[in-house]
Amino acid sequence: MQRAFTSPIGNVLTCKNWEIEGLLRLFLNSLDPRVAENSKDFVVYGGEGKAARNEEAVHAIIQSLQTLGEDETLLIQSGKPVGKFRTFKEAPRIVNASSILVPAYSDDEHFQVLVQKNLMMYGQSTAASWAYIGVQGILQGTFETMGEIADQHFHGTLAGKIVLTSGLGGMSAAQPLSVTMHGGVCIVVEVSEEKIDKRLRSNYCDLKVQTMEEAIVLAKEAAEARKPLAIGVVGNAATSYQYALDANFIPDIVTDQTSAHDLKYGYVPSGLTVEQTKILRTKNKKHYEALVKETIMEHVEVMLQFQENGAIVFEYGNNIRQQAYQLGVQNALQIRGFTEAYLRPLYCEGRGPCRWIALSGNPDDIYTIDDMILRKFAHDERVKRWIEFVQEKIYFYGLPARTCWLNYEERKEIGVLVNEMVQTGELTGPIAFTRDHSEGSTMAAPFRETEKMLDGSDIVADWPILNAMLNTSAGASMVSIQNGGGMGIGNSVHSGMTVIADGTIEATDRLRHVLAVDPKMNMIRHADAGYKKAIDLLEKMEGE
Amino acid sequence: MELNLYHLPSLYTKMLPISMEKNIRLREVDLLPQKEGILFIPNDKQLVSSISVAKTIVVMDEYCEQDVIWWFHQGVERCYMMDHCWELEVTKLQYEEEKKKKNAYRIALQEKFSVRAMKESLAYDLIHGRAKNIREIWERSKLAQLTALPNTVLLVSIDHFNRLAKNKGIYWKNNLRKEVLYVIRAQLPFHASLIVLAHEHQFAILLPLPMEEEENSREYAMKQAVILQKAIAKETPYTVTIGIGNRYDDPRNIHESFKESEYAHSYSLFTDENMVIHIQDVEYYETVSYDELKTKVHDIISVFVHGDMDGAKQACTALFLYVKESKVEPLIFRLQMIEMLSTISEAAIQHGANPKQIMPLQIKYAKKMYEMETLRELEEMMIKMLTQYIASIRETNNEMTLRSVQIVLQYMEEHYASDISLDMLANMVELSPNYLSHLFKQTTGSSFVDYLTELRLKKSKELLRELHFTIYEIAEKVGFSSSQYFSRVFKQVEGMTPTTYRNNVLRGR
Repeated sequence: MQRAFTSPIGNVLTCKNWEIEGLLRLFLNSLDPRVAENSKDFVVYGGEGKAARNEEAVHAIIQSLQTLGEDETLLIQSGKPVGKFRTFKEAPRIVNASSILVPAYSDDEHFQVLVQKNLMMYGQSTAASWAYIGVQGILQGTFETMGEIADQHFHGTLAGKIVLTSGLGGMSAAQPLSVTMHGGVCIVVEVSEEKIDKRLRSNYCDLKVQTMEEAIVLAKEAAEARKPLAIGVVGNAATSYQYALDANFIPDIVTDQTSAHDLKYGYVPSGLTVEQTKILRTKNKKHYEALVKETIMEHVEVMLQFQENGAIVFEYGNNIRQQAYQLGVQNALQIRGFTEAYLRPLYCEGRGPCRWIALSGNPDDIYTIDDMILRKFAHDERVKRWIEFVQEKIYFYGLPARTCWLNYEERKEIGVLVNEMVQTGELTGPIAFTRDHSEGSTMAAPFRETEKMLDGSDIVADWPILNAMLNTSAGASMVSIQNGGGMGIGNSVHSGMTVIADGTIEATDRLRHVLAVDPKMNMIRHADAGYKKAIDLLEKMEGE
Repeated sequence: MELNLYHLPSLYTKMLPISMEKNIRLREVDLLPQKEGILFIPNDKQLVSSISVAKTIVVMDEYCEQDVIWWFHQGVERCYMMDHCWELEVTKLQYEEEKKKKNAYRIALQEKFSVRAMKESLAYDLIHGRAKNIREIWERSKLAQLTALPNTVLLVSIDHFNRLAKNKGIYWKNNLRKEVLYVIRAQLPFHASLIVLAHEHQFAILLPLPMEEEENSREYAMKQAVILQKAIAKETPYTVTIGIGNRYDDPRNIHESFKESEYAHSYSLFTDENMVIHIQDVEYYETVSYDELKTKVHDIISVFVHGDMDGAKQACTALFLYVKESKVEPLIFRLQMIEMLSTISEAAIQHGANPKQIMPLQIKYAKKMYEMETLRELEEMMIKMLTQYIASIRETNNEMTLRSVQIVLQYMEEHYASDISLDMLANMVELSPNYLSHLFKQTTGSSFVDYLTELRLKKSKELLRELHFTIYEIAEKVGFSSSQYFSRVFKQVEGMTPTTYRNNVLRGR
């Protein structure tokens, strides 16, 4: 039986120093059965997003890190370690490239051939960069999105509003909770009853129903009473949305987080169960693909009709619009992307999905940092609201972690503050700082993070490469460049970063540099594209 | 220990009077509680260590407020400081100390119970699903001095508690529980588990199983449960049955584990006592087929109303065997048993049992049924109940049963020549053959076979006296199967053959 990988906890080193140990623990944490979607196949999340290419690679990575020198750098190519070089102590310990193809061939067809030949691996975003922290990561992104929607359209709250969405997988499970966090009612359609049961147990959903009819009745009642409620409905998204439309039920907000980015292996067509889909995929691929296409088109067409009827409709990063557009739904792109609509203003202030992980395995470390943030950044209502909510709702699976959309100034400061806390013993062990890849400078994704840029630079992929090179220069502990995260191969280029706060003076310098340049790049990218907010903020910081 | 604290800046040490120097004795420093940076012998160590007095002296060169407080708690009574402010500090400390002594009992109780109260309140909130805030749960676990959050519930149930505690007072019950609890606490690490009384006879233990695969979690939990079970059996006169729930890493879901442990435990109905049952080994059974159950109950009724206790026992055993082998949910089955008791009671009354006897019995057994812990005990209870019901039927059925015997006798009188069997007659009067046989003997003083034989012989004598019929014809007329058999029986009873009897009659004329 394959051994289950988990991160060690406590203060005993298995590597030469904490910088390397930290990266090893992040890697193993990604494979922890409590964290990963399918730890047996090293799939962390998002259907096929892996942390390592195969079991042999897992062992090789572990062995490489345990023998890595303090001034050596390990190279990882699509989830496999391929070399070790003498560099400098200040250089990254790991540089990582994953899923990158020559642009003319950067599509799923070519990619799958290479995967079959065991030459490549799909790393999603945080899977290959070992920065996955479970549903909390996406929960905060969704929280911020819903928060912006509430601010822009509903006077700062979703109380009394109904959100219709779908998908309760690893990424999409955050949706119902993020809606109820803002006081709203969420109907989330999921074809796998097992996934709904899982979300009931983890307290993300409040109840499960078998039909849309039931869900609509319950949702209306809750909305009228202005009570938050998360309802999981067993069913197919396209079919259920159509039912709602036919029943003249127009939700206030409509979105979707089915695995539409992965039509080959993720999406379940109408009329089929999950098991039937799996069988059809192998037995009759052509028929399966035909059904998928038909369903995707129906799905998006219904969403467009909701939009016509006054609902706020947006795509939440799974590329469903593009998929439908390519299949022939001409006005699919009329649906806005969540980034362009709601997150870009945050990017302009250097606010992004910062996250940190307690390498000691001690939840007290995270709570101590939470308390410090609530004191230090007490003026930031958004941060305060998030921290207080997430402390109540999120249980730590694997290494305790926290994500928080801090702004530039806060990100710049937090690394040094935390490093000092490690140094004084206020924290029981070192902390790893990392982030999601979802920012304007770290992700070039024309259908998501860089959709409809003011200057039309949607498909410019220089920025994530620059970001990676800059982070390398600034002393990050690990840097990655990847292709296809969140959107499928060929649809995005993005970079990841990790820096370890081990309480040393060297770490202070690394943190001071990396956690400043990384978010500032975001502001520069948006300023370069003409966003006034970013331009103004940078002008204020001139001379820094 | 008496301690005097001296602060003598090194400047003054040399100014100590020689006699004083000679008269002070320092206890060896390694016998005193060590505190880094405080205990040092300034200046001339050799000199200081060689002198002695009645009281112990600690000489400090430098100190801070914490040092003073610390030494105070070691028992310092007097402080000789160059700086008199420190004397005030010590006076304050002495006052606080006095106050504490006055409230010592309350303070000791507070210390003792605060952790326990924190543990119990956390345990109850977790098993009842009232704890929702993750951070709060974490912080409470720290206050409860837990080293890890629990993720699995074991429900430890004292076997036969109701029977043991019958007619005993509350203190007795408490002592019984304490005995078991003492063993449980000895087996489980204090800082890793929570133990609370879930029901009168059950403890819920919340354990943190190590981070393993699901399959290993089950084995680990079973192992822990078996260790507990054996320890209790060894160190107390009691046995326990333990139900185990699944593991839930998120502590907000431990209430599910608790419910599962209760459910697993309910399946001890189908086993003996002193068992360990994991929820994963229990199928979520459907209710037993109601029609089939009705048939089994009818089988019992059809025999017991005729007073056939043996038959009733057999039918009872068949019922419980069917229940054990079928898919049945324990709680539902207990409810169905209530209905069965009602049906049987009704049948008993219909067949002559006194309602004033039966109704109280029915209530008594319905209550008792919930005390029964296994199918075996339920079966024994039912048999006991049936025995009492049959006695009642018999008691109030005398007239009826006498009438039955009369009918049988009448029938035999009229049909002695026919092929009569006990079974046939029993069926005719709606009694079981055994019971009829018993009644017949009770009434006539003779067994059925003997009575019939006698009746046939009596009739045969009449025919023998008439001289019209041959022995062969007489045998047929009175119901014997052959003349040889008739002759043999006649000789056996009368002491002479039929022919001899006839000849004697003729000679007598």
